[in-house]
Amino acid sequence: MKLEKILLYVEPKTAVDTISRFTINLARPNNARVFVLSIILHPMQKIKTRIDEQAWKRLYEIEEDAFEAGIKISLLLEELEKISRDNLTQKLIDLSKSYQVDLIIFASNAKININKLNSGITIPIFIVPPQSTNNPDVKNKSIQ
Amino acid sequence: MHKISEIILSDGVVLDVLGTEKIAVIKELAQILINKSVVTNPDEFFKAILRRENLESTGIGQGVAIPHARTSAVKNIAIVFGRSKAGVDFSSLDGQPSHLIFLIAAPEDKKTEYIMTLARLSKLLRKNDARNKLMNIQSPQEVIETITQYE
Repeated sequence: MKLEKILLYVEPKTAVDTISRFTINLARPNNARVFVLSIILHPMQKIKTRIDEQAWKRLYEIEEDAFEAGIKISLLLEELEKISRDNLTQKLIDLSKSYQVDLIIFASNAKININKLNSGITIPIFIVPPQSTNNPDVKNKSIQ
Repeated sequence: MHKISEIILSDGVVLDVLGTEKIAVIKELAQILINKSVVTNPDEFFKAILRRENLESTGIGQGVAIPHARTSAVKNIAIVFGRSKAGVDFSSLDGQPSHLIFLIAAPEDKKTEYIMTLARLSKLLRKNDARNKLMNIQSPQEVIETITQYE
């Protein structure tokens, strides 16, 4: 399986140390680029600004770990005006196509529409709830 | 934790950078940090900056680039700012040239402050009004005032 580009989705406020290390370790032998994505879902400007900073902090923490490991990395902070399973799924589809990623690692409890995802893209998706991601025994919850 | 307006050097503002490509612009801005003795080992600092540029796109989109390095070649955390009316290719994911370029230098042992600085600056520069204002300012002092206003 070609693994040149990995899209890692993380939530703005949740630490994902284990899953980001896992992603970096997966990227390293493949010399893959990691696109780290966070999406701000809240449309309220005041709250959005606060979450915005938390999201950037999360992205830059992962960037720093990737940099120290010599991994190519790009950061993406996207916004959605409306919270919905379909919106989030569509954003994943759009970005996966746009950056031609080979694998999605979805470190989130957010709901996504698997059927829609299946019909939109044909790449593997690895779904890991963030509360599990600091547990070394983290298990693969769903592999398409 | 320092505010952005507290660590951006008051004499570290270049309203029209001379460079037209990213390495030249980074060197131009880094020279200010060297002259101010913020960077104590220029070779090591450039190496750290260039290594990151090879691994990442420090262009964060919307006409903004934040080249950065955390290394023992830096004495204290500092930011210098350069503006390019023509724009410089920082390999932004949105494909747009960068007009507002903030170079961040941080000491090796200031990881938390460094990451918070990156996060706060990135947050600030997502505001359309702040970016528009920075594109149209006429003096270095206005840069500090604008950042103070929006952070």
